[in-house]
Amino acid sequence: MTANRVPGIAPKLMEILVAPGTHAPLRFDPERNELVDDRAGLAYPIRDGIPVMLPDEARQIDQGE
Amino acid sequence: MDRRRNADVIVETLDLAGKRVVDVGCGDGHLARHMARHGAAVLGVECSPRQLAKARAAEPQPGVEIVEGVGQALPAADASADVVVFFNSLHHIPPDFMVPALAEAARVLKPGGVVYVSEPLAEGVFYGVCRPIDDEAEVRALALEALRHAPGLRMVEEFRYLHTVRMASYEAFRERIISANAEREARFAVLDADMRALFAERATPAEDGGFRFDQPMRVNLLGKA
Repeated sequence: MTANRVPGIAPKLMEILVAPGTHAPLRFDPERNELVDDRAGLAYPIRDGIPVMLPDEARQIDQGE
Repeated sequence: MDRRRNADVIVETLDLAGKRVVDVGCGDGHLARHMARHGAAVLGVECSPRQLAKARAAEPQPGVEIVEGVGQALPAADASADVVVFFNSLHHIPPDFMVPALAEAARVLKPGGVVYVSEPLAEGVFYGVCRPIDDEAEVRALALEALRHAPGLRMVEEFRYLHTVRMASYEAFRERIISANAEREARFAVLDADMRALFAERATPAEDGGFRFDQPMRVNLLGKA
């Protein structure tokens, strides 16, 4: 997460935020307002400023997206 | 037993300045904001929609980030936290997930870090008032049992103190108790008259017009095994 600044989220906390279960690093997608686990192909939504770090709530990213 | 305030005990026990904290079951985030005011950077994790709504509504505090998540699958990197806090939250984790949640705390804890677990004891005036709605004696005992079998952690210290719970009114009490577990709303509806009577009988009037209740607390400090 080090290269990604997420608006409103302290860099010191984004550094430690990873995907639950896989512990994969996350990439911020500003267009969709999601935190993306590229390895697992999952996108975690940010709802009303609160990242939803639950695999059940994550969006499966389509091939070629 | 010493009379102390929960919020004072945590900042007097832990050296928070410059530390990275994961607050598991952070509720509306009030303790996370309190720790941030004492110099910590806090990642709060909460799963209750009602608590998350309150967290969203609260005044943002620099150094606090709250995410929706669960203790048994913490969204934090290995060895990334100086402190992991379970403030009155371990007993709210479903029993099958208590030990996994403590294993997660061990995973995210840095070597030399501290896991701070605060739990209300199943005794005292406030426990007695809440008991008809949801008797937590069993889940609190299970939480202590889980602490004693926490993988990757070892017990460093245990102490107790007497906390004063303050409630502005019966309605505030009801709201606080429902916040942690929405199923309790139906119990309150059924027991409304009994609960109002019990609240009135056990409450000590406070100077500010609200009410006070004693609640004994236990704190366990654990380190990496």
